[in-house]
Parts: sequence; C-alpha cells; structure tokens
Amino acid sequence: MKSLHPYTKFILVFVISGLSVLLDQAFSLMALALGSVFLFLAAWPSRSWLKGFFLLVSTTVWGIMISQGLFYQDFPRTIVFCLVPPSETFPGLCFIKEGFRYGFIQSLRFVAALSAGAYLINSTSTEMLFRAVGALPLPRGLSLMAAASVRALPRLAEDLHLVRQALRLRGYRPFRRGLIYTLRTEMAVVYPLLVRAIRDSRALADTLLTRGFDPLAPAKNYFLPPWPRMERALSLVLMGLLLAIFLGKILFWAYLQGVFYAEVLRPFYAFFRKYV
Amino acid sequence: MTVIEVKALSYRYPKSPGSNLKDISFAVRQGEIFLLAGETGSGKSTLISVLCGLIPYEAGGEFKGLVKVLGKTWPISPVKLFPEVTVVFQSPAEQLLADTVFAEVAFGLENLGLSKEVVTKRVKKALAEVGLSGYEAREISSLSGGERQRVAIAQALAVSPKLLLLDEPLSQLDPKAAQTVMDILKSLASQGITIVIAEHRLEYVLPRVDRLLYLEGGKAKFLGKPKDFTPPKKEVNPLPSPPKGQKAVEIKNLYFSYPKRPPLFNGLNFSFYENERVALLGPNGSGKTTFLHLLAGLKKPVKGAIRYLLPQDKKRFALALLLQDPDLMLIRTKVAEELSFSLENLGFTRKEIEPRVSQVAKELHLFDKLKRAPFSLSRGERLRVALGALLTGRPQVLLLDEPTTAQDPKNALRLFKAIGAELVVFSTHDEDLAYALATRILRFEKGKIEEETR
Repeated sequence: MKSLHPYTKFILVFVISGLSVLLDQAFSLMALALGSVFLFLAAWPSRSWLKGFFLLVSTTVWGIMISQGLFYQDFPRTIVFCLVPPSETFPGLCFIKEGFRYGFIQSLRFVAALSAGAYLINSTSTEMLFRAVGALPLPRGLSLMAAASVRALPRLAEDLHLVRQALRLRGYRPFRRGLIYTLRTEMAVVYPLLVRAIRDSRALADTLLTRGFDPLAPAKNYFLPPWPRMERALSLVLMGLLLAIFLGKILFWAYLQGVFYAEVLRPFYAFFRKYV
Repeated sequence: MTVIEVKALSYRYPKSPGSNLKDISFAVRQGEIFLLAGETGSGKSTLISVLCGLIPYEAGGEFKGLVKVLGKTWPISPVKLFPEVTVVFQSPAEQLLADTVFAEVAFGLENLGLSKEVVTKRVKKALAEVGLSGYEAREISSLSGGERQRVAIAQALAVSPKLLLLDEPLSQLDPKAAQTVMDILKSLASQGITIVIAEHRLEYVLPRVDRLLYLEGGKAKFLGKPKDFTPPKKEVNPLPSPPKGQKAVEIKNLYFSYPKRPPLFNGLNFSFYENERVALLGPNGSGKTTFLHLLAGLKKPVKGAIRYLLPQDKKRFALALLLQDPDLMLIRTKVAEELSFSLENLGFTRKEIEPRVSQVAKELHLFDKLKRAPFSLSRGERLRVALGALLTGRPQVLLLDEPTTAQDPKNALRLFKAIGAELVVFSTHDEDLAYALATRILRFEKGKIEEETR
C-alpha cells in the first residue's frame, strides 16, 4: 500500500472522502471506515504516528457520540438515562439513544476521511507529493506552497517541543505562578515560533528568487514515475463506483421526493435504502 | 574580462541607524577567486546580497553608487541574473528546498525548462564536481553538514553559472570539510567560473584566493593580494585555569542512538569537575549537540546514567542550557523581562530581581538595550540576551551549544568572563577560541570522544 503511485493514492483518498459524504447507513460507513483504517495500517505507520492517530480517532468518536447523545434534538428520542432529570423549569440533561447512533455515524464519516488522509501523508514522501501535485495542471507556485507548508509542520512541531523544553530548563512550571502568568507564558511560546517562521519564509523567498523560480510557470511531470496500468485501471473502477453511487443517490432522492419512480428500479431502491 | 564592477557603493538597510556599506569600490576579473573578509557584522553578507540582486531590489533601503555585474547595471531583479549568477547562502538548511539530493540539484535546471535528459545529465555532472557522485537518491536530511554544503554548491553549479557567490560556506564546517569545499572552489575557478566568497575563517581561504577585500564596519580596509595582507590578530588572552574542584557530573556507560541510525555513543564514561570549562570540538553530526541535550535531560540515553553531584541550591538553577538557536529561547517583549524570567520562576521578589538583571546586563553589554525587544537586536546580541536569561538564574552547570557563533573574540571572552557557573560545557567550531577559553578539550569524531591536552 505504501508503494502505490501518488495518483492512485490521491484517487483512493478522493473516493473514500466522497463515499464518507454519500453513505448514510451505519453498516456501510463502518465498512468504509474499517477499510480506510486498514489502508492506513497497511502503510506501516511509525509508533508515534499510530499513537497520535488512535488518540485522535478515539477522542473524536467518543466526543461526537457523547455530544450528540446529550444534545440530540430530533424525534423519535429514546432516553437511556439522565444526568440531570427533567423538571418543570429545566428540560433535563439526558443521553438519547438516537443521538448516540447519529453521533456514531458522523464520527465514522470523520474516521474514514481522516484515515485516508493520514494514509496519504504517512505513505508518501514530501518530495513525491510535491512532484505529484506539481504535475497537475496548476501553476508551480501552488504546488510549491503546498509542499512547503507540509514540510514546515514537522519542523514547527520540533521547534515547539524545543521551546517548551527550554522554558522548563528556565524553571517554568505551568500553574506554579498562577493562571494569568501561565496563560501569558503559554501564549508567548508563539512569539519565537512566529519569528522563526517569518525568517524561514524570507529565506525561502530569497532562495526561490535567486534560483529562477517562476510561480506562474506551468507544471511539469519530470521525474514522476509512470502511473502503472493496473493502478490506472483500479483508479478508473473506483472513480466509476463513486460516480455510480452519486448518480444512484440522486435517483433515490428523486424517488423519495416523488419526482421520479420506475417499477423496474424497485430492487435498486431496496438496495439503496438498506445499504447506502 | 571584468565580471564585477563596484564603484562608491553605499547602502543602508531600512530602519538601520547607520550605513551598512560605506563607499566600497572594487572589481573582479573572470576566473578569479575573490574573498570578502571581515568579522561578523562587517558587511560581507550585505555585499553578497547586493551582488546577487536581492539588494536593493528585494530589501529596499538606501542604495548609492554603481554596481555592474556581467554588463548588467543595478538595481536588477535576482531572477534576471539567473542562471549566470548563482548564490550559496550562509545556512544550507534554509536554502535547500527538496527532500532528495537529485531533486535539489535539478530544481534550478527545471526552472530553466530543460529536457529531462539534459537535467539528469547536468545533475550527475554537478554532483561529480563536488564529489557526491552516487548521492542522487539520498535524502537531504540524512546528509552531514559538509555534504549539505556541497549539495548547495552543486545546485548552484548545475545551471552553469558565470559567477558563483558564496556566503560563509565554511562557517558550519569542520576543518576537513572546509578544506574539501575550498579545493572544489579552486578547481571551479580554473574552469573559468568567477567566485566571490564571503568568509571570516581566513586560515582556510587565504591560501586559495587570488585577491581579497577586507571589510570593517562596512568600510573597505584592504583591497589586494593575500600575500600583502596581514590578518588582524585574534586578541584572545587565554582565560586562567583555576584548580579542579570536586566531581560535578558523572557519566556512566552511556549509550545513545537515533532511530534507524547507527549508534552515536557506545558506553561513554566521563567525569566533569567543578571549575572546569570543557570545550566540545568535532565535525558537524559528530554528536556535540546530542551530547549537550543528553546532559540537559532533553534526550534520554538508551542505556547508562548521568549523575549530577553538586549540592542543590533552591535559589539557583542546577542546570541550564543555551540552545544552538537562541531565538527559540526568547519569549518576552523586552530584554529586561527576558532576563527576569528565570528569577521569577525561582521565586525571587521584584526588589531582588532588578539588581540581578542590571548586573548581568552590564556584564554582557546589554544594559542600554534593556527596554528593547529581543528580536529587534542583532544575532550576536540576541545570543547574549538568551545567555543572560540563564545567567540571572546563576546555574551551577551551564551547557552552551555554539555560544561563539556571531561573536567576535572580544565578545566571546567577555561572555565567558561573565559566567559564574561551577562547570561550563560548550560546543564550538572555533578551535582558537576553544583553546583560549577551555580548561579541557573533548574531540568528537566518528562516535568516539577523545580528550586533548590544552
């Protein structure tokens, strides 16, 4: 999975993101999310990537489920249990079964798209990403900007870590000198990071100017490995599937709204109702 | 043929209090290696920025005089000078754009719109010229400082320039890598490429350049051949060596390696004593910074232990570390506040803080800058602010990562005199300064640390 061509990866991410928007059934979304997580795992992410990924996924899933469970407004609603029972003046704070389900579906959409994105970033070098984006029919300035910002993120994280370690070595401990002092110091961390980012971007601009870079020049696909025929065919099938589900969704919506109905499409309506 | 002609050039950066270049005149002929020499802040880098077109086109400021390069008269956009004029900036880390060596060297060639075959051929040729054949697929992040510098030179060479400008290409290199880079430049000049190099490490460059311009405070102090030039002596009187005290730090059986890389330290055993000033010398990537980070506890050893043996004092830092990039330590909007930060965290009152801050500011020549924003100061001054912010906490053990960068010898000496720590461990590339300032030298090379007698 790691060695797929960047274009195949782009298509995979596009199709998964598209399906995560189009699908509504918990079963299908669950299958999509699991497939997407498998894709991410099959690229053998590092331990730190895994840690960050699962932390984000678990907190998001639970966060969305709990908030939807508590604040679900639609009907029907089945109360599971109440934290604060309803009274004459207060509507109560209760967990709603349908809210949990709705939150679960929304979080599955998020997990599917997040995993696909994480797969793309984790399995593709910045270099290859730059070359792949650079080969798209866009001005080179855009692809360079995209690559530069992707590359800046790990450096920013590294700098932030170092700034915080430096503060610790200067005796700073959060909350020891009160909340205001802590907030002031925590916010000031941005200061050296910002100065460094400005300095780096100026250096980058000077480098580009002196190396004949033209941001408006058309893209070139030099040195991008050829897109294997098998992967092209797979991508075509995936895109076709996405398009078919999109068109099917429109047809199903037309049936639901009473705009268009055909007797012959009854099995199709049943399939879409149950699985899509 | 004259490649560069500069007459009565004066320049002042926007918001700069005075002129940064004053009445500079010189000319450079084709195939010459021309040196711009001078201490930090003398105007070498500014002059390089002028010659590559960034000044005044990009930087603005007040520009006077005549500058003509390859028949083109200033002001001119750097884009219009490419590919005849190429430049290698001071820090390769900030200059290199790509992830792999091939992509980096190919970048300029792709901008010229050359065919894939020509690009591949020229990349190979440029890498061969700097002795990096076979490095095409290597990731830039896996290269040493010297190798990165050579990649930076290769990318500038690949587009077949007529004039190559280099800003302090040796500043971050160890002596061996510096010699290699100078040999490469000499061979390029023999092919007819004109080379202008700004550098303050004269010992490596003087024997290999044709002529030089020595700058002091933005003014030309000498223009001529190296044989007629007497470099100003580094006036660094060695600091006295007080008698060794009790054991302060003990390193036992220390192992460390980065993931997916060969081990950096294999079972180190060292002891550092009170009143010692230990200099860490060695090439880039030999582990000096990692060693300091291990001592400071920023990195954890794979195996082994580091023990601090001095009795603790709650009103002092047991340990302090000056980072290689001191800018990452500046978080306050005024120098005075920056110097107070450590004392606030140690629980000192405002009454106690003020005299301590004033004293440190005086010792580091920062007293008149107490109300200034740290980031409005020069690089050398910012380093002194970051150091001052540690010194106010009177650390028992002080670790300094490259504290001599951007400091002239006088400032470096003043800096070390102001340090009152029981033990100082510092890394540096400046061997002369190391021998003058340290009581003990540790040389890092290929995973080994050897002790040298001072």
